[in-house]
Amino acid sequence: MPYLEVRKLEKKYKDFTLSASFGVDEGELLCIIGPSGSGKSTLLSLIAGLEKPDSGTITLAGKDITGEKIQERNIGMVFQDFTLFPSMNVEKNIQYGMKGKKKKEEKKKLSDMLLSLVGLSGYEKRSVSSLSGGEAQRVQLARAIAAEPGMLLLDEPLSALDAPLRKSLRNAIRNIHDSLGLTMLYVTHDREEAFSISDSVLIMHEGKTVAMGSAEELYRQPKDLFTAFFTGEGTKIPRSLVYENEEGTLFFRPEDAVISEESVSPYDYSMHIILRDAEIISCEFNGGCYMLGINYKGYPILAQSATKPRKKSVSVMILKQSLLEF
Amino acid sequence: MRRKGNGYYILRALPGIFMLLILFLIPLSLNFSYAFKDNGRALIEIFTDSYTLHLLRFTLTEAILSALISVLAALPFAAFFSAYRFPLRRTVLTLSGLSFTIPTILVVLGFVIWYGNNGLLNAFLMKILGRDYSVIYVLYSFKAIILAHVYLNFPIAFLLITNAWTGMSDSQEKASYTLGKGKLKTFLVITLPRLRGAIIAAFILIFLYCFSSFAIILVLGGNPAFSTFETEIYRRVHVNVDREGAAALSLFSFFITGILLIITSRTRSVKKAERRERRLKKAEGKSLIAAVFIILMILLFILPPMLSIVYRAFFTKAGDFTLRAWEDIARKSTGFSSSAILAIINSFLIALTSSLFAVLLGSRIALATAKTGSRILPVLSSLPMAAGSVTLGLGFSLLAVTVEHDSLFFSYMLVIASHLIIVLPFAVRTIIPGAEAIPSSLAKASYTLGISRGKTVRKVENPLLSSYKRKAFAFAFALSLGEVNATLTLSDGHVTTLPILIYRMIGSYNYQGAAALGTLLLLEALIVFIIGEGGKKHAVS
Amino acid sequence: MKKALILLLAVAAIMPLAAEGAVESDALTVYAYDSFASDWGPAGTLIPKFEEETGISVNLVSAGDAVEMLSRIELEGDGTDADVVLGITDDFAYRAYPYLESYDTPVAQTIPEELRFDSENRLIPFDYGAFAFVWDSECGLDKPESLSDLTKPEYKDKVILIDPRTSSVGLGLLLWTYNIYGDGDEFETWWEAMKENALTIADGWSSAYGLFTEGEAPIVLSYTTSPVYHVMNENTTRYQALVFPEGHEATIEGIGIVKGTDKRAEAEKFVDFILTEAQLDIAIANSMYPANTAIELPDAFDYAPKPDKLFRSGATSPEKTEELTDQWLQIMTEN
Repeated sequence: MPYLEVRKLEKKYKDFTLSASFGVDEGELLCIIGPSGSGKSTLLSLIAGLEKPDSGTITLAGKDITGEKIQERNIGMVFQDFTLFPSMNVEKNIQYGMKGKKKKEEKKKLSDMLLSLVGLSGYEKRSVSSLSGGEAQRVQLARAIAAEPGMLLLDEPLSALDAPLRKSLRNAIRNIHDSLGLTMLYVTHDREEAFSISDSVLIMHEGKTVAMGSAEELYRQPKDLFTAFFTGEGTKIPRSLVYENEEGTLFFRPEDAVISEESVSPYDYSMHIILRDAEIISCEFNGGCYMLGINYKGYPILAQSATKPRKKSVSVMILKQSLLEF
Repeated sequence: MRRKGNGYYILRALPGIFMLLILFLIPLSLNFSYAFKDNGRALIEIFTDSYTLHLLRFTLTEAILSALISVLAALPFAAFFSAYRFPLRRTVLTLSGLSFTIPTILVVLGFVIWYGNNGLLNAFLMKILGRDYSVIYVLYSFKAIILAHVYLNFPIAFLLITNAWTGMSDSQEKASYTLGKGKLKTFLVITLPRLRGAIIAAFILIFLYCFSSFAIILVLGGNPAFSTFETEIYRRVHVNVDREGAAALSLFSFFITGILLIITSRTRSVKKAERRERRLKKAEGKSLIAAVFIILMILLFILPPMLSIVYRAFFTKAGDFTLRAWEDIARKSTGFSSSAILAIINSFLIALTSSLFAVLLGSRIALATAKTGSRILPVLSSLPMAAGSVTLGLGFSLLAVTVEHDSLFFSYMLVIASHLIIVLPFAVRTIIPGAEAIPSSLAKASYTLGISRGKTVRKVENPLLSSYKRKAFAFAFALSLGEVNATLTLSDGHVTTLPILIYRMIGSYNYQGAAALGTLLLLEALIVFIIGEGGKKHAVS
Repeated sequence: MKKALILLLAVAAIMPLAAEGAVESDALTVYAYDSFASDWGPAGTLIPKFEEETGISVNLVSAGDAVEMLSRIELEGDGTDADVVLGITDDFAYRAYPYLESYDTPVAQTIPEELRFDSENRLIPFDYGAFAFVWDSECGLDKPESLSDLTKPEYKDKVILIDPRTSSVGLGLLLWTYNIYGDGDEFETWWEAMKENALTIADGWSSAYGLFTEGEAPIVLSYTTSPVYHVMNENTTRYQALVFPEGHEATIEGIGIVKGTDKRAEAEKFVDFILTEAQLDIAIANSMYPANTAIELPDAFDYAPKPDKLFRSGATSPEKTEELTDQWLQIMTEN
């Protein structure tokens, strides 16, 4: 049985219904991704107890917490926006949620330790309004951990920060996760962030949990077109384009499509499907290789090439075994 | 913390500041000149009199208690009103501002009709309990003073705090919950400090209001031991004709309220840009029942004394229905019918003009205060309140004497100006929390789009103040509608407003007629409030 | 800009009202207290009548209550616009004398000697009233027959008094009891007993009488003429003024001509008018007795019993008044 289990959770809104079922194992870092408005943050709110579900259950460590008060769920949360308490300094913010009766020195020691964990030693007495965005999020993290939560929810904690800071901070979060073994639910709309930080990824779409698995599974074996597109670049073409009179859709990643400027050998036909007389429309260098935008009979196709193509008119070869059918 | 480049906001506020200074300095300088006559004999006498200390002690006790209880009573209701939306929510908010419009004499009457030993509440309880003697004796005691003050001032605290609270994002509270803290602890440690600005604003307004109250204290307190500074000042002005003593006393009380204002101005609210207003939850199930219960509680507290006045306008003490009061008003022979209509129009126009100006000037002062972080401006704008109605009245009477004016038009202008100075502090204090909630980045964003400062204020910042301005307008309008003294003094009695007519009606023994006029006054306020509320819906609450 | 428009409209709306009240400069300026000068007070009908009869136009100024009016005269001094002041009471008359001229009008012969408080005729009485306790005859209590009856324990919480610090009526009772009991212990004893019997001590006559009509207590400090209103307008004799054998405190209102007026002749005509033709209207409107004894009062005034014995407040010095007020405060606030 998973550490956190969400079963048939439902919450109706005026123009939107959330329904979710999934589980997280102890010590796992699960990222929830989805387009904005897909219900990620609402799902977190329901788990944290900030909102009440209409039906369904939430179980944490074998205990049904669906009806529990927020305070008794023992779930920590890091918010997207600034939620540090302006009436307290950094240290007081961190000590605010500490559990049990602790002596002053003990609290002090703990908060110092947490500050060094998030890389902010020496910030104890700073006023929270003097912190930069990144520092504020680190303090929020320390504050949440100080309450010794059974698991931690992070609601787009980095979305307000700039890119380099996001990268370093997400590594810091992962390190903290690893050193504490804390179960974490991490909501983001940034695919790259999710892939790099997570043990597994849950995808949400229009209020529903649509797919879950490791980042690689979701990328390689998406269960539907939405997941396929949401986890990375790709091309979809109607099946009838390749196999006459057959229904359905074919999907492939750009790295599985190569171009040939020469004529194609018959051997290739057994391994690939070949789209002849395609026209290159755009060519972008993205570091390792070239990303090509190709037009084939009016269908846009994404392909990769290690070298810059010289001709406009090419053949596109797609590895048959990498084709996904929907 | 003075920020650069905000001179423009000060510039905009100048007309209001100018107005405040002029209209305030006149009474103040008059007081100084009288208080210091004969080498300050009166001042020395006041300071050495132990009775002054007694007055001070009681006045402070009464004002602090009233303000404290009003704020404490308002908090749970404000909490509910800033968490849920439900039917009648706005209506209740609107109705709660009505009590301001009633002239003191009618408040006293309304209280007596409702809470009196032979009042409606007692008659009702006697019937239910089958007793033949009064059930509750609340009037003519210290309790009654506090009850009446809370009755009159609860709406200030309720409206100001609700307004601030609904404009506050609730993510900090949520954070506290996830840290395992209960509702009470979160409220005390997190929410309360965030509400501090609004709470202090409400406390100050109520304190100043109660500091200068005396009719309610004397009548409902039932004991001359319950005397305030204003009682003594009034006595010296109206009975003893001891202007020097009155001026010395009012200077002393001004000194005390001034100190209080300066102290509280140092504890400013913690500013943090947040325009993520909370989404009010729809009240359902249990919370809907709570909503019904809470609405009932507020209405049962606020409405009965007002409805008692309406009741008395139609029913005699014996309980018989009669339209006599209305006939008295309508009868041509007394000249009353024309005065009543004129009074309604006068009251409306004076209240409308003065409160529009108050909101216009007040919002500029509030915005300048927020932009510059000035501590002087809010103190300055509250000075007229601190000075007290008698001091102002004294000043106005001097104004009436010194300014040669032969036209009724000029009388109207003077009356409007005096009302403006009375309601402006309320307007400024109401709008400041809203102005402080506007992120400074908004204006900068607008400037970078090539928009002028004037247009930025008009298009970007002013719309964010609209809910606060509406509240300020309602307060100002209600206050002006109920104003009596300045109107009488400054217009030589040529400008008749509804409350003045009420006092005159009472002067000729016609209490029922007064109740009928009071009903008209309430009706007028209600209509204006409803129109004001119905205007724009995009703002908070 | 919309707001500016509204303001403009508001101002424009006031303008026509303003035009209506424009004041002519050659008019006779009369200062009067508010309740006289209001549109539906006696002035509403009297002033037009006077203007029609004499051709003199009157600029009536409502100058607050009697004390405020006095303050205004003092503040304005020689520069005052006033030609006539109406409504200075006998107790404050001494403050007004320096600003007034004598006028020995033949009309004043109809005014009884005991009402004439100024030997130099600077202030001429035009009406007077007497303070009295009014009681609800249907309250089921025994009728108090004298001032000392009121101190009986059966009237505990049955009497509404008025604070002498904030009301001339309240002050009236204070002086009344002083005139009866003098400087002795009796004065203190009476007030100590009344402290128990008072339901409340109101700030002014308005709230006191309001409490009374609401039935909060059956006895209230007011005027002997108070029952007139109830007879004339409510057709009930339930509320009666108590006439006490000890005598009653009177308050006398006077009219006077302001020193240095350039409209002496017009002013004299106005004073005479007030002392003759206007008497009845003023008496009814103010619920006072007319000073002119030749005036016949309506039947309702039968219920406003004239006390046999009157004390004049003006007889007490201002210093004594203040001393008494302080003494009163001490009695009422000590435990």
